[in-house]
Amino acid sequence: MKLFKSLFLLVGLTVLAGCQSTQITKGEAFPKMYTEQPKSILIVPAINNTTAAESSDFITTTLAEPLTYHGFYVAPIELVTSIFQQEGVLDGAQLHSLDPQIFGQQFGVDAVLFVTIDTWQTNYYVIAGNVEVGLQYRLVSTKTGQELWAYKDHLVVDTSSNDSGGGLVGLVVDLAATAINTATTDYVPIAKRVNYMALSSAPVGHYHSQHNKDQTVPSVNKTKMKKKEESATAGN
Amino acid sequence: MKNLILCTAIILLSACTAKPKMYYWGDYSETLYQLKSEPTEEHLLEHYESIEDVISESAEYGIKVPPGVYAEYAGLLMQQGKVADAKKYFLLEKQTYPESTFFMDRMIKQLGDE
Repeated sequence: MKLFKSLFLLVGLTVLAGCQSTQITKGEAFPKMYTEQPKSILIVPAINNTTAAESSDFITTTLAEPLTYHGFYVAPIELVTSIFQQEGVLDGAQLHSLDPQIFGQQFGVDAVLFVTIDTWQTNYYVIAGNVEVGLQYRLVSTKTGQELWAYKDHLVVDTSSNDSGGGLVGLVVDLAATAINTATTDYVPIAKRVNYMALSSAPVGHYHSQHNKDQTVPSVNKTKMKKKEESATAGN
Repeated sequence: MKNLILCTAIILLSACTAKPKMYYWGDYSETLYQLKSEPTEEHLLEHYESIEDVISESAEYGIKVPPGVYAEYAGLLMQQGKVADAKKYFLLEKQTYPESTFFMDRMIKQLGDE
């Protein structure tokens, strides 16, 4: 329904101006967050669809901080993980397929955050380097099992070195520095930044000063990628 | 202005930082990742220290310790067999964040069973 309405609007606007993806408000995008008001969130180990085994740790160890600044109570991840391990559940996929109500019953939390990492690709291009990240987030109610918030994005973060002089010597220094940079890049701040970005699309929680007042704040349109494709075909 | 002068005055003695708006997390993410990727004694110690830093700085700023930190500290203490200390911190978590009551009661019960 929402998709149709937005698509219609998009086609109309394409005629008038170079149309960017339309943004919808947090209230329009995630109404269930406002009706349910989840206070506490449990983070489940991420599903990792990449060959970068360490990426799931990068993401899950840097999620709590942004979530708390966003106003939520976050159940201590390490405790939760050790309990899962005791139960013999190590696989993110196993946990993602469980009835969300079980998490409410076991840990007394209002919602569960599922993260899937689709891409974590470090690229090295001579004097430049970057990491390509593709992530999906889903916040699910432990009471109803319904999705309260979701976000999906694919982005590239530059990890190049920029601080040498010019000339051939500069080039060699750059090469070495970029190689070292990309190899030993601290991905923790990058992962944290990606988490912050994703969360900015979500309504804020109980502890945030804007709690229940941000319905009209624009949310990143979670289907913006899809809409861009649609407007491309619709406009032609 | 007044703050700036004060800060400059004591800059030799301590790093002068503004009071965090909500929480102080310090180096928590870094040391946690480090510990998870390479679970050595040294990394465990560093993570302990960063949690202790979060707790003490929060007290100094007069702000709440972030969610889950007391509980994680308790979890670490529990692993080391320090039951009484672990219980203390589970209770602190429960006190600071009542929504953690169910979970914290469960952990305290687990302590008692050990």
